[in-house]
Parts: sequence; structure tokens; C-alpha cells
Amino acid sequence: MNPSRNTLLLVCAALLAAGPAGADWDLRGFGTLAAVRSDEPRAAFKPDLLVTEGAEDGELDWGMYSNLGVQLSWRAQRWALTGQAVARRRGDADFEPDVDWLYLKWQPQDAVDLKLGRLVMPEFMISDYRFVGYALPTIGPPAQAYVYSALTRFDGGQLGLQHDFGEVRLGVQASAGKTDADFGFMGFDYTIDVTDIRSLNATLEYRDLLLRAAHLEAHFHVFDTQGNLAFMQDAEFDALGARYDDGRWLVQGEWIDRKDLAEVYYLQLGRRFGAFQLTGTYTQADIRGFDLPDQRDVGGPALSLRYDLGSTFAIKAQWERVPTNAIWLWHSNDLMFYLQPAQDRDIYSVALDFLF
Amino acid sequence: MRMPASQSWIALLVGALLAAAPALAAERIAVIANPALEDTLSREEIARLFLGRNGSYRVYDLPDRSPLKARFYEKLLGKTLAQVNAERARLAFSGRGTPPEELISAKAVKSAVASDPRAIGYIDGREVDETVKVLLWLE
Repeated sequence: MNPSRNTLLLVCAALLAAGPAGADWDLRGFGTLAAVRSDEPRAAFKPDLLVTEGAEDGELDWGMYSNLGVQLSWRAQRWALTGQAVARRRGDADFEPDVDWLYLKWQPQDAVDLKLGRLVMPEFMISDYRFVGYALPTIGPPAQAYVYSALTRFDGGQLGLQHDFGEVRLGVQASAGKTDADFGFMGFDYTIDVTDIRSLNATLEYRDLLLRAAHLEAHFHVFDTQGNLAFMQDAEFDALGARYDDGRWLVQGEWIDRKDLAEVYYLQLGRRFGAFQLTGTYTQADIRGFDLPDQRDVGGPALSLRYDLGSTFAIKAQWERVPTNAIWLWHSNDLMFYLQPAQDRDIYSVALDFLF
Repeated sequence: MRMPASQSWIALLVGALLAAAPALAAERIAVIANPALEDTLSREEIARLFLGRNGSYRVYDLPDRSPLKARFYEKLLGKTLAQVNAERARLAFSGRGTPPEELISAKAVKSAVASDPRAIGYIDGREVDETVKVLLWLE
């Protein structure tokens, strides 16, 4: 068991033992059971930069989108403590549990809150609930865009402010901290240290419309398995997003300019028909930083169908077309795979999402 | 003595309206607060509260199996319970909100609101009395 899980268990045990009468407790969770199939024989499809297992060669992969999350919160007056553990694929292990959130929140006024601890990196519009399948119309977030949102959490602080101008709500979040992670690429293993993370994002909400702008800067240091510095960079990205959801129509899109990796946008159009929701997605990316053939201007469409089974279960089916030159989405130990001309591949997924 | 045709029609119409009155009243849902609450809340603010951004209020809800709950969210947000739960999941699992506390019945909600000056809930419009005040009528 790693130190973060020990910490969470200790904190939870202490709260359960010492929580004052009248304080609020909240225990809830989410989960997804999903199968993914790809027809690429030379590499595994894996829409997460930090995993090294994926769907390959016509076989069903049950671990890529499957997960189980549990959240325990304690609130008293202006204070709250929240821990969220998620078991999901990490590296090459399925349902590997770890603490994604563990923070103390102080809310001196309704419009101000300060969080300290482990938090999810507020990179893109749906970064902070990307693993909650039930909250999404699709199976996972748009893969060819969110593969660049790989560092899902950080240790540090976050200040949130909000103000209402009539029916318009303005929210601002400033975050700072650091994180690290292990990942594999082209058959080699690396550790990435991310320090001096500074992030600012703003949202405007008006009825069914949400607009978002974000900016993030950080220092990246990548080390090989011997601890040698393999790569370092001052990373920076800007993102703009919009979402309109009136209960029948869903229109969502994001433009992400990640200076060191890619410029990406996606557009999503969804329509509900009773308990069914049909969503089409198109993603386009201009990958940067590699001088490989066919590696620029990659993208493709996806089509997702969701059916709400009662109020806490949903089943989904999804097809997406992913080109092999979307290099971050494929894991192969064969370097030639990344050097060959691009081919489009079809990815099929089915999922059961639930809340509890 | 026979009633003139026009009067017969009026009597029939009045009778039909009287028969339908309880059903019409049942369609009204009241968003209620403790009478001591002095705040004025807009429909948009009430919608945010019930989605889980409850600020300093204590917001009470009903279980998903309650027919009143499905009607309430259809009228307030134009959304199904599945859609409401999806929106709440976005907020709850990203640290931006806490879903309302569920009580077992509308009677329990009314009782809880009547005893807490910062509490808000909803009940069938026919159940409103002097122990609570109405913030919003949903027709």
C-alpha cells in the first residue's frame, strides 16, 4: 500500500472516530464496466498517456475504461474534508486503487473557497470528472483530445471565487502545486516530475450555457529508469471551452493549445430521445515536437449511444475512428509502428456506468 | 322544471371544473423554506441549490422512487432524474457541490424545513400550510 492510501485511511478512521455530532457525512461512488476492441494488430489502443496496456488485435480489453470510485466527505460549518479513491488502470495494472482527491476545504463565505491537499488538475473542461462515466454522454472523454490531459492530479492548493451578475455566474479558480507520474512510450519507461504548476481558469455560466477559459504553466522533467534526465521543458497551454445542454440538445467543444505537444480541438453534438442520447464527436489534432512521417494533422470521428436505465445506471455503445499516427493513443514496443504510414483504425466500446 | 340548455351547459362545465380541481392542485409543486428565512431566491438560484451547489443552505430532496421528485425536476429544470443525477455527479465528484440530503417522504421534508431556518425543500402544493413559506410555485 502506498503512502497516499495509508494517509487516506488514517484520515478517514480519525474522522469516523472523532467526528463531532451534527457534522455531515456523505459516502457515494461511481463505476464503469467497459469492454474495448481495436482491429490494429501491431499496437494497443490506450486513450491515456500513462498506461501501457490497451485494446489490440481484435481482442476485448476490459480494463481500459473500467473503474470503481468511492468518495467520503465530512462537512461541518465552513470546513470540509473529502477523499476520493479510484481503482482503474494505471500503468499495466487493472483496477489499481489510488487516491485521486484528498483535500481540506475552507469556505469562509459562500463565494470563496480554499482547498489544500491532493486535487485534480483543472486542465480541460471535463478533466475533473473524466473518470465518472455516468456524468458523460460518451465512453470516456474525447480520446484524441484528453490524451494530452494525462497528469490527472496534483498536490497543492486551489483558491476558488465566484460572483453572480444577475443570472450570470462568474467563477475563477487559481491553482498551484506539483505532481509526478510514471509512464511508458515507444517501449521505454520514464518518470515525469512536474513542478511549479500554476493554473488559472475562469467559467461563465448562464442557464444551460457554460463558457470556460484556462491557462496552465509548469516545469516538466522526464527521467529514464536509471534516473538520468531525458527531457526537460517549460510547458504551457491555453484552453477555451463551451458547453450548452438544455436537456434535449448537447453542444460541446474545446480548443486546446498545448505548446509542447499539440493543438487540438473537438466538437460534440448530442440529441436526447427519451432515455436515449446520440452523440457525435469530431476531433482534430496537430501534433508537435516529433519529426515522424504523417504525424501532423491527425483526427477522426466518433459516434456514441447512451441509454439511461433508471436514474443511476446507463449503458453505452461507441464507435470511433483513430488513425495510427495519433501516436500518443497507441502503445507498441515495435518502433517501426510509429514510423509507418498512417492507417485509420476502428475502435468499438460498450459500457455500463453506475452511481451509488 | 326543466333547466334551459345554456344553463345545463354551464352546470356541466362548473361540475367538470370542480371535479378536476384536486388534480389541478396536485400538479402544483411548492418550493418551501422556513418562514424565518428572509432571503429572496430566484428560480435560477433555486435550480443551482437543488443541483448541489447548496452554499450555506440545507437542501432536502426525496428518493428517486418518489413520483413527486421526477415531476419536480421536470418542472424546475426540464430534465429527467437520470440527467439530474449526471449533473450532480459532475459537481459531487469534482468537489464543486454536494447533492441535497434525501428524506424518506414529503412529510419529512416539510417537517425538516419547518424546524430549520436555513432549510429548503419541495412538497405537493396541497400540503402547504403556515409552518412553511413558499419560495416558488411550479405549475
